[in-house]
Amino acid sequence: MKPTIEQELLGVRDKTHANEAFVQSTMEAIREQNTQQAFKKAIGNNRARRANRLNLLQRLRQLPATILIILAVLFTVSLGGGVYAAVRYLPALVRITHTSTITHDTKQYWVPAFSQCSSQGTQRFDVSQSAQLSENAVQRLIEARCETDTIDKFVSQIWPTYGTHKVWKSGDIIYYAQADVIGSLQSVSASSVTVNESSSGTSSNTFHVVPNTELTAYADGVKVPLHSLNKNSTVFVIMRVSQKYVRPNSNQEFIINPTPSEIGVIGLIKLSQPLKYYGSMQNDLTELPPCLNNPGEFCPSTAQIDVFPAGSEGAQNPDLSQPSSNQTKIISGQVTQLGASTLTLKATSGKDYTVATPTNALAAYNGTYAPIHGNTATLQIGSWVQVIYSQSPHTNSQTVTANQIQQIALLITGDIKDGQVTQYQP
Amino acid sequence: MKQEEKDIITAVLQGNDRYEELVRRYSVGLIIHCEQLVGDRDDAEDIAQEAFVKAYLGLKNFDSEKARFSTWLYKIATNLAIDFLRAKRLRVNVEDIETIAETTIPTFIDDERQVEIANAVHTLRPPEYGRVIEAYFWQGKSYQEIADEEHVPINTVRSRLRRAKLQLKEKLS
Repeated sequence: MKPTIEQELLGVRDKTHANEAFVQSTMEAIREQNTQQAFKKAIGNNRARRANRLNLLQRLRQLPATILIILAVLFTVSLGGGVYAAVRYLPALVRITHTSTITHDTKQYWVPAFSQCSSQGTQRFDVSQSAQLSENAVQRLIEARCETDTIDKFVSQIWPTYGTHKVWKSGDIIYYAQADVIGSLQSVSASSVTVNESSSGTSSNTFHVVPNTELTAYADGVKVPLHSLNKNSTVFVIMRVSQKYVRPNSNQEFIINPTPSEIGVIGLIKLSQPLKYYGSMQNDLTELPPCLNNPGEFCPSTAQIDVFPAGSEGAQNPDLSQPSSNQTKIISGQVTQLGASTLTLKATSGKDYTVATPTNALAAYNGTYAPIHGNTATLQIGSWVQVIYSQSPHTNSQTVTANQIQQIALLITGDIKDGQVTQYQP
Repeated sequence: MKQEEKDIITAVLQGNDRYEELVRRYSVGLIIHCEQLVGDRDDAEDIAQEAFVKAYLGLKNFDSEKARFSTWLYKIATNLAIDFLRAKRLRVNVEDIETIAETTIPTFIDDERQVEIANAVHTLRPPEYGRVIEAYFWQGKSYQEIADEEHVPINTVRSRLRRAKLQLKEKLS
């Protein structure tokens, strides 16, 4: 076929010349992705060993990135018929504009819409029936979830990640910000912050400010003076953390020393709800965003254990063989039939999906890997699973073959007690 | 695929920082490609950037024996553009998009033809036509950037580019 004039013109250009700003920002985005992948891997490796206070954030980090909020973006805010523009450093506190409920399969789901949040009413929240929460409590829990999720994504924008060198080299120390602690503020000064990390006020912790750094505070979307934060305000404590970054020559994977070192506190973000709504009560709430490329299906965002491939972070299905034009799709549901290499799941829409794995992969998980997580991690009929697979965008087949599977995971709650996991059940 | 490009991909997979060479090589064309699909420069740059990131992350699954890197990269970008248009609740005809997409996918131009094209651009009249072609297709500048440099309205840039391409087609046919 004869090339178009555009193709001919592009074919002539000097390939070493480009829009420098675009090239550099793209390379920066790639470096950021590398970091995130490495961090996720490090977090995944340590998932079971982390302290309880991290459970909420680990779960939040697994939520899908539905929006990217950019630092210093110009928000246009409509107020009273007038239009105002303001530079904001954080999104204004999220507010639920309305919440409706839907009933599906005798189960009630909450469908909120936010004024400033990633969800925009596209996902559901499932509230544990045993929790017996009031409507007001459910709304506060959802609002707290949305708020921390949004802030978690925003932290790296305000306090960027950096390394010893601009282009990271193996052996560099990488410095990043981490929103790990939520507490009730007891005192704050330019050099330290003290918070109670439990609603009962029994667990007090003092964090020292990173040397030669100004401690910054944000409330209701804008930077505020430290003294404006009242005692007993709920705050997110942002820590500066360092980790060693290693990339062995013979290995394409990035490795980060699994033990991060906290250097000190660098920021405080005031939260909207009382402390109890950010803690273990969050375990009563499960977000069900739409499943990737499976319209009409909802996939619970919970903690997971890899069922297949299992046993090694980053392992790949050796049978996976699909054209690059295929889409990655995700489906989630309750197991209704189970064999050594096949399972059938009932998705949230009520449709049945049949999933075949390479030989005996499911039996191998139950026999070898599940016991590592305690005897409650066995895959069985009634378990909830998530399946990530490759399929043509033009197909909606509910049969997934072994050469399409990217990952099968068992869904669990964030609670790990005495080394035993609790399987997710709506 | 050219051996040089295979070498770059192999080097990247072995841990060398050579991916920037591919970004430099394809960014201008890919942004134009995305701009044709979504109709906005800023959105196009966001999509092109995301495509480069996705391609980088999936590079180990890319089979250079079966496809050209550029074909694969442009396919990723086209899919992202379709997703973007759908997310904006715009009606998307995938076949139309793919037809548009084909008009900017990189293709091999032999040396003789390259000289012919370059000469044709340099002899466009008025000379602003040559400048707008160079700025847009060769230097990767946006309509707005060209308008600012030439001190003309953005619509003038669009019309100059359109007329320049028509004149080029005649010269090169």
